[in-house]
Amino acid sequence: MKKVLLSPLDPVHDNAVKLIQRKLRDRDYATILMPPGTTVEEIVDTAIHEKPDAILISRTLGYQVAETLGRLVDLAEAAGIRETTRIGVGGMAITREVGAELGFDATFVGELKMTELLSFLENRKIEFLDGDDAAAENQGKPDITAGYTYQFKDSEIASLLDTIAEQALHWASTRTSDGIKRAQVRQQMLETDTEAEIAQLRNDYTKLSGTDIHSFYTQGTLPSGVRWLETKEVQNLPSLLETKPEKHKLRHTQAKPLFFVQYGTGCPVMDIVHIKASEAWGADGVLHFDPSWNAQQEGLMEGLLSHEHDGTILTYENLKLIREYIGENTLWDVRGHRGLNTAETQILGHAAGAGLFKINIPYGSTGGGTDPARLAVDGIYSLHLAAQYGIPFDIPGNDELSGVPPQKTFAGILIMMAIGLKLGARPIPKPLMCYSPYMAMHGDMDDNMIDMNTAKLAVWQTIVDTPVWPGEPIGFMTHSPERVQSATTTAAHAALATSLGMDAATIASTDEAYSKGPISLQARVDTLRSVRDLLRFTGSTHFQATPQAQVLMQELREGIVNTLKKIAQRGDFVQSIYHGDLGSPEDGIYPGRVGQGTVQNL
Amino acid sequence: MKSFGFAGTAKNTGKTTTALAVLDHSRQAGLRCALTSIGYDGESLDHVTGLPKPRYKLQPGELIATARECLEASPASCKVLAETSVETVLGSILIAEVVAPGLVLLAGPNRESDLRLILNEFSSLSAQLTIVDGALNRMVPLICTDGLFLSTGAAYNQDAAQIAVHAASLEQIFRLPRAKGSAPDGEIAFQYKAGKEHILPGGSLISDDTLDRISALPMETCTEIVIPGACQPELLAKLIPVLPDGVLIHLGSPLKMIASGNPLLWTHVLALANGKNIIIDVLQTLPLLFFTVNPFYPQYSQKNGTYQPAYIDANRLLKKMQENVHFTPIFDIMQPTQGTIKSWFELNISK
Repeated sequence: MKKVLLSPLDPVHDNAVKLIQRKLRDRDYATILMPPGTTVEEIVDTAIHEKPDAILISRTLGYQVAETLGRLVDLAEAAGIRETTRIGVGGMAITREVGAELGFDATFVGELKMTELLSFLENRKIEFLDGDDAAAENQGKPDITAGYTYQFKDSEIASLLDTIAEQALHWASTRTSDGIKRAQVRQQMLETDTEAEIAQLRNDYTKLSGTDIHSFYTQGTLPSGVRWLETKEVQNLPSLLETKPEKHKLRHTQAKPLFFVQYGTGCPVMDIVHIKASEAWGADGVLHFDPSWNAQQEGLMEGLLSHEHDGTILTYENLKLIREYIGENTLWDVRGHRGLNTAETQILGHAAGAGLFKINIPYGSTGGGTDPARLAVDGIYSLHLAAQYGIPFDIPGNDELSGVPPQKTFAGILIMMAIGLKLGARPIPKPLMCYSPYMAMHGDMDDNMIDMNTAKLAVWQTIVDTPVWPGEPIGFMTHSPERVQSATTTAAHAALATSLGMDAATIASTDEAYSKGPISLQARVDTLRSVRDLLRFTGSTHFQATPQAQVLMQELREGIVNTLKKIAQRGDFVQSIYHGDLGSPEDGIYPGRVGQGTVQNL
Repeated sequence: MKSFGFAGTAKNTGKTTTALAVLDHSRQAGLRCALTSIGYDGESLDHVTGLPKPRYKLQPGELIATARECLEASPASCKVLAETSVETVLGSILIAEVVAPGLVLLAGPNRESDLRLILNEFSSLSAQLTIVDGALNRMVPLICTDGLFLSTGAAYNQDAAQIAVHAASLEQIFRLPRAKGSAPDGEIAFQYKAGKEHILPGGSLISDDTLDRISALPMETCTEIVIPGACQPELLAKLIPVLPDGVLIHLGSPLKMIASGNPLLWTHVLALANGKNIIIDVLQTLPLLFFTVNPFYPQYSQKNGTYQPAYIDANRLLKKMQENVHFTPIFDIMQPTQGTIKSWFELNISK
């Protein structure tokens, strides 16, 4: 049994060594704990007589404390114990450089990491983890859909969805669009090596593109606010990221949810820095956001491009550059749920290495502004691609933000799930945790925000065995421009999602809703930090909703069934969107018009 | 190969500046130099005060022993010659040769056994002079070098008189004679008139418990006491009155004495011993080659929470040192007219 001598070398504080003692005892180490106020001489004298394998010192560093720690090491050397007893030091202000100066055999920087400590005690080479143990340990890339069967538990809903999905697939099977044709050309371009063929294919692509993209390929003009990324900006990236950040974990005792953040600063280089910071602060995944106008034009550009407004331009080169820097185990989701380039986005995302797609026809063709028929054709083609690539797709329910009641939004998500499942894809519903206009008007959150959100998240498991990923971001419309307030509400929603056993959650930066410009890095860390602390606070405890949550869940289920019935009766999924079955002008939403009249019959 | 240690009485007393001066003279003498540290050196700013620090800029052909992470972060272009078995918190120690001039970061061996190994490596690579930079409040590993340069000054104490008295105590410790014969390894030992010996496990006298155990032993016929490890001067001061006159006390080394307690207390102990004709010597000696004095100190500003450079009177400091330290050269590197390291170097090393 190894023996460890622990001392705070501090007049008062000994919590750290007490904690270490408990953890070492659990692992069958013999420990000797010295009290606060112990002198350097007492530590060394005890070590002389007890002959421990290691001495662990905990101390917050101050100007004179460094001298004291140095004297401890020197006295230990003078007493001849350094050849048999190794000495480690830890504390919030200890750095490895200070440890080297003071002559310690090991330094434990920042918060307690037992993996490092045990490596030291067992004389193994210490892999300095720079952060939380679990965060730094290689746990592999998670699969959100793993273990879910997608078996429907609600037969009435299953039956309605089957009817609607069959009709939608049949409808789409005889239609195409320039968006799909461009996706097919782009696929060929990615698979072709010869410049001549690529040039020919690019020519074909250009003919299928809208005015701005046509000008880009034929005249080299860039849209307003777009510029080429300079070579030196890309070349400087490795040195910019040279410093290895500390890694933290967001979850405490909880196994899930996985936490995602959205990026899309406009500049791929800045995105990479945001991604690396988010990873360091425990984010499990990132979502690529492109500019709104990117979705409203026929065609995508090529090359490394920077955009001075929100949203990072979708090009293969931009995505590839970003992918190069994303952590091995970080999930990467590319948004393509709305717009005229939805199909091509999946092609580019897959080629660049994306692990998740984001597709929602009802939302994209209402709140997203794209013509329902056009997005239905392109979206269903995209689901084929998701199935073909084996890449799960998530379905954001953000049409709620426009006033659509959750039952209609959820019906739309369920239809997307049903279509995807029929094609062999793996869907992930993303009910929105928010204080939506509908809630404000109907008073369902007047007393608290737990009952309604609980109902919205819990209802899914009564319908189908599916992963659930509340989005996007959680706490939408509870945020204000004040950073502490914003971080607090995000953390509260994250804790509720965790309590309800959600599989993933997307969190915003504290300036995301109100930044009026690029999102700042510190605002991004705000929420990650607050989520981390709230999850530490809640641990394995759970929120207790009132009985009202059950009532709301039942109402939701009934609303979903009524919506689906209406769509099934109409017998036309696309027409249902036009007619407001999944969100009407009365709700606050209109069918999109971008790409109107562009669907072609095969 | 000659190796020299550089230590300071406190942080910011100028040991690296002194080491740089010796390095410069070594180069001028055409010696192949090697460099290591028992702490962490070469950073541009002090970790605690945030003030600029002198840095080591090495020339092609010079050798260094430093931790892997430090070598990787060093601007100087270096060729790794060997990886040693010595581990530090910043990685294993590598022996490297500078191939293009540049600054180096140093984090070397932090215990005596490891430093010996590194010095042997340097010797085998034909180094002629090795500089071992010291560390904050740590000197003991430097015992395996051939001599020590000690820096003191206002960063230790802003009163020149107290600096000088402290330095005189240090000088006194370094001038203790070397013990004759060999001592039992690692344990406190008592030799009695009849040739009897008593061993007390532990080797160090740094607690009242150990003092009590010693005091319980018969002392009337004791002729010699060996305390090879650490020895607190306060405890030895309590022991001396109960010891018979004329007893011999063998302590570990001057560096172990300094690590064990304030040099001023050692002066008191030596005086007590002298009063009873008790002779104190050391099992290992280390020549104290010279002192450097430095009037600089970092002054803390509570108003803005930063340190600012401040100075005491340099002439007074030098004068006080000269009044109190009688056997060891004293230099103020910034006042070369008062005597130079160069002339000392030419006299003692170059020849």
